[in-house]
Amino acid sequence: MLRKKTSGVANGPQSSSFISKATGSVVDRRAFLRGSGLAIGGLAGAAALVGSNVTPSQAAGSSVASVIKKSVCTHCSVGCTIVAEVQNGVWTGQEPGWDSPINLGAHCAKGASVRETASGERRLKYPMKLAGGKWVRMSWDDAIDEIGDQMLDIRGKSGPDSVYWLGSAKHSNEQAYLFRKLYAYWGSNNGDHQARICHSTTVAGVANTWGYGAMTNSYNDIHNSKAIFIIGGNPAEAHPVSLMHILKAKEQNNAPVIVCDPRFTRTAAHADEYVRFRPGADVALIWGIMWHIFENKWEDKEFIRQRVYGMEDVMTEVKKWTPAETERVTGVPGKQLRRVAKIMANNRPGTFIWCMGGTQHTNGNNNTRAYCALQLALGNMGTAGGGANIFRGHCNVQGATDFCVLSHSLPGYYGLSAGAWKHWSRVWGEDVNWLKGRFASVKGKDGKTKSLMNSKGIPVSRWIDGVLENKDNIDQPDNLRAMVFWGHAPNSQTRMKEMKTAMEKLDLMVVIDPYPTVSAVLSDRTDGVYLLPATTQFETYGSVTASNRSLQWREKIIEPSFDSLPDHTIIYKFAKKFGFADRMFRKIKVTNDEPLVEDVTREFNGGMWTIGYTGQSPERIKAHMANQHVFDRTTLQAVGGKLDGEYYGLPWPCWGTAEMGHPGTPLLYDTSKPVAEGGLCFRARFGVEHEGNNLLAEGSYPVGSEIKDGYPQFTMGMLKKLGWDGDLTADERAAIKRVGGDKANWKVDLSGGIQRVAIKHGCAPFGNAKARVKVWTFPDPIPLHREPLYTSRRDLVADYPTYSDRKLYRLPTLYKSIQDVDHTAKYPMILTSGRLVEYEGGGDETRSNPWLAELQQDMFVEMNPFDANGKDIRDGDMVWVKTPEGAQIKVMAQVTERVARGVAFLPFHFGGHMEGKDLRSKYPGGSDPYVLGESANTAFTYGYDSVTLMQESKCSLCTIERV
Amino acid sequence: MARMKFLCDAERCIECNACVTACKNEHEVPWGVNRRRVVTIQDGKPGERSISVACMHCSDAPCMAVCPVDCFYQTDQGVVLHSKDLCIGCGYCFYACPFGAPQYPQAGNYGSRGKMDKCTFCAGGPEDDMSSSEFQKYGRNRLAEGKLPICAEMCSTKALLAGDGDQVSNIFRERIVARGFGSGAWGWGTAYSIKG
Amino acid sequence: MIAIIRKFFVFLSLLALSFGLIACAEEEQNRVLSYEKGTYLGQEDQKLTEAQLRQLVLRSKGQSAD
Repeated sequence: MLRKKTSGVANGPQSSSFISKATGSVVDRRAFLRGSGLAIGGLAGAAALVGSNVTPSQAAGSSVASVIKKSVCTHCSVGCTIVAEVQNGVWTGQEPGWDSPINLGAHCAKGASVRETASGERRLKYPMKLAGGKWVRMSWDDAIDEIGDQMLDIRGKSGPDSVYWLGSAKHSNEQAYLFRKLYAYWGSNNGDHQARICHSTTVAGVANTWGYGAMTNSYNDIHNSKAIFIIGGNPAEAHPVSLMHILKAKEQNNAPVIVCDPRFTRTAAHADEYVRFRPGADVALIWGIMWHIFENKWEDKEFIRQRVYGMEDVMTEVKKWTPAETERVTGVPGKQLRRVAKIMANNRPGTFIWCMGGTQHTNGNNNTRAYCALQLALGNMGTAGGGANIFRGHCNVQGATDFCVLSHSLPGYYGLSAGAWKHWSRVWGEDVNWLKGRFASVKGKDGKTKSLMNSKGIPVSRWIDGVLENKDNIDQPDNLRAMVFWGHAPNSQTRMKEMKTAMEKLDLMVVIDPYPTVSAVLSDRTDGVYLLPATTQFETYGSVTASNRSLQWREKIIEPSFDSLPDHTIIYKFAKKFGFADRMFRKIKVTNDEPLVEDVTREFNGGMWTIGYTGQSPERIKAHMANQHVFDRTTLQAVGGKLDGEYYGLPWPCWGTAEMGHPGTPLLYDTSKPVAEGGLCFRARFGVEHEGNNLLAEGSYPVGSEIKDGYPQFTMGMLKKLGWDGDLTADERAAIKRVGGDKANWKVDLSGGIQRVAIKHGCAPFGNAKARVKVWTFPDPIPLHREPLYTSRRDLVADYPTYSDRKLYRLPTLYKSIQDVDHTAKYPMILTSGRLVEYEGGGDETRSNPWLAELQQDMFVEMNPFDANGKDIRDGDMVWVKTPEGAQIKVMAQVTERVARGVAFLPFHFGGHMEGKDLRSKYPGGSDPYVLGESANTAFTYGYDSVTLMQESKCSLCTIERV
Repeated sequence: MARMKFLCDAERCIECNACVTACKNEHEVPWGVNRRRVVTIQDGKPGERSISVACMHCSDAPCMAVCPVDCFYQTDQGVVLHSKDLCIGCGYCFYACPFGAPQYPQAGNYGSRGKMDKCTFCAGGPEDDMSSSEFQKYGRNRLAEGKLPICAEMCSTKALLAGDGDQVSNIFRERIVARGFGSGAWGWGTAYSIKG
Repeated sequence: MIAIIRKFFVFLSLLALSFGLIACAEEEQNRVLSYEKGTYLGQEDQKLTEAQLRQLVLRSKGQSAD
């Protein structure tokens, strides 16, 4: 039995008196229910002693009516509907949202307890600053003034790139969009968010394979799967409600569930086939499976001929991965992989699911592309029940990625080219030259001055190096001097010892969050740290994109607690302070510093043509939310009524304008439906030919297409050639003329006319091409296995070395020089990490929720009995986990066969302890989470993906010793 | 209507603990008191299974038999409830219960036991339905609101079922047929074998 | 003298006892004081109405999700 089941009241929550005194004006739930005696800190047994006036159920059956509000869970990306009961402005209860086609009323531990997230007493309550080592309360106006002045000063002395804007996957779409716009107006590309350290390698790998970097099907569509393949993912803990859909397919289709993971996860416990392999050997494993597929000619030859480019090169690489070589590298016997290959071949279509176990590696982009290659070889793409079902991690990480709160693109993946800036300037009604003037420039190697407007910024995974690296080695005028952590847990990032040093070196740190987060306590700073309380998403409203690309609308459940403000209001306040609010919000109505959310939605509707965020007007999303019951629970399509034929949440691409009424695209690249009804083909994104080979699809096209073959992306010139330009209205023509006439393409036509006409003729605006399994622009065009930087298998380094050291995203990035050093004598064990169901991300929110905190009170390391016995460690002992870069963490040993011999596992949600030291006293009074613990990432080491700079947090080395 | 029953489908339970936090949320159950918990067997090994356990509201409830002050009663729907006014916190029911359901909040500084607390099948207690005093002592009365226990209604994989015994059996039976094998409803023999 | 005192003492004791017994009235203590083995003597719960039961039967369906 797990230790986490410990009960006992020892470290239970304390009384809430401090807050009740402090809140003043706001009616909080504690006060509301205080009389019940059942409030936290009270005891059921004592209940009879106390009098009360109100119950949650009926407000004492009295005059206080219950109002029902609908929102969306703020934890993972499944997108479960939250149904809240509100009385007198107090959130008093949660009910199952039966109508939601996504979760059908179901929740996990986190979703079932979100009421506490919003109403909890451990929130950050007021703006505060650290002055002389003490937290001092201040007003919003003073805070914005002081912070703004310091930022402007840094801007003046070191340039705009010395302030780093770290955004969030917890922002709504509108907030994410405004945040991206904020640092564009500030004049820097130094902004990013969690997606960088979560699925950046997926987005890069997948978008470069078939066009879009997102989950291709939906959770519900798994009902159609005949086989379920999960690698590097533990959805039973990370996306529990998805298991409802997976188990349905398992039971009703008799679909075999295959789980490949170094750890026997709770998901593996429900698998038919569990494949245990060595961390970091994903490419080898996939090629090992494909060896059997090609050897037995199980591949879908017709699909490959019509829709895939470069498979012969993959075949050549796969040939090397004989069962013997695969076993040598991955540890998995050939017999098992033959069985897996056969299961996948005999049970089509099969779905392919992956998460962080695949992405967080130095060769993460290779892993994700190898996964795609397997699905393409089996012909499992673009079909119900198949697909690459990439489960995203945070509630709006899909949306925040789509709005490109990233250091390398403008919203909608337009990139940073001059054309991209021109497009968005048009959407914003901005003078592109004014924007250009906001940016710094540097002298390039060729001696020419280049604007940093078009240069990728520093990614979040490397902000530490932006502070600590010698500034002569960084391609920007100066080091980072100010960090804004806007909804980000620092303990989700590796190398925390160096992070602490970096934090101490900064001039200014600003934390904007509903909870203080580890950023408030990690460093030994005594000044220059500001904490600004943001609301949770339950205290504001707006749209959010689930992993399946469906948009849902959150209603405001309660008014902001304490002094907290919604993120979009805080963004406005900063814009006002910096003096560009009038420009930035020229199309958006602002009341009392709060931008009108619907206006923001409409503004991005007008610019997000690339990925079809254009058809989802606020009115349409709200109508879906209000009529959830009309949608089929497998296809997600509305049956009858006003929404007949539309797909739930108008999954992007929802082409054209809202008036065009596109139903959304439930499955990407599904040619069995017309584009107008949600069908699609692979995107023509990489040109029309490569080395003389045709890249366009051959004889494959969406049903109803008037072009019965592949074609490039649509431009005005192409419409003319086809003789379809006559279908454009006069307004559309004029709009197209304004953005470049014949050269204007489907991405920049602000009228949506090109898209409309292409779709009218059954064509996909983005063209119809082959997917490519050979990405000639990447370091490894065909995915290769490369040993991790800190590998335990020195014998494999010569055959499978990592990359040479190089410069990426403005920074020197190390590969070979780290791998060259052998640490295995001192650090013989492999270290990996992952999620627990009770907590999420850095865990600040969830560890502050007593209902969740009670379930997981101790940070632990899982180790195999074989290793534990060898070190005389018993279950429950405190141990030191030490890693090669000199970090050590003190955690509890959990001795279990869940992990293999020689492998140790750490959950990454804990924080508030640093190398054995408890930092509880450093939190602002009353805002410390109930449960603290060592952060796994204190121990995790250097290592970044060769394309996206994703951090390596799934494979390092360690040794474990008794305390 | 037949009697009320709980059923936990071990093939579906993924130990996500939604039932546990949903219960805490609904009834404002304090830290240290667990009306429902999830138990895992063969943890970390092939054959690992989890079961969500609370008071099963047994037909011949052992707790009722051993209570020295007869604080228990059973409703017409088979829900086993108790009166906290009568309970003396002796702990006999805990030893009698095959599911470990009864909980005792600490009442004083010396570890003395408070009155017993347990799952009510979201049916409150003897006080007036949906009154404030009922909520204070027993939590919310969902049955009176026409709703079933929140733990089952919010279960992530619909592993935990609650409601009319016949309907619960029907839902479960359909799954068994689809699966082609049946592992039996965990705990039903113990809880409902005698009177059904 | 001693006898009188003793009688008075006995009288006082009886008086105290009778007061004590009066204080054992159930209504005043607001709890059950005498038990009948095997019988619940606490406050009686309300029964669910037909309408409530019907609603509960309908509600079960949400749990199947198939």
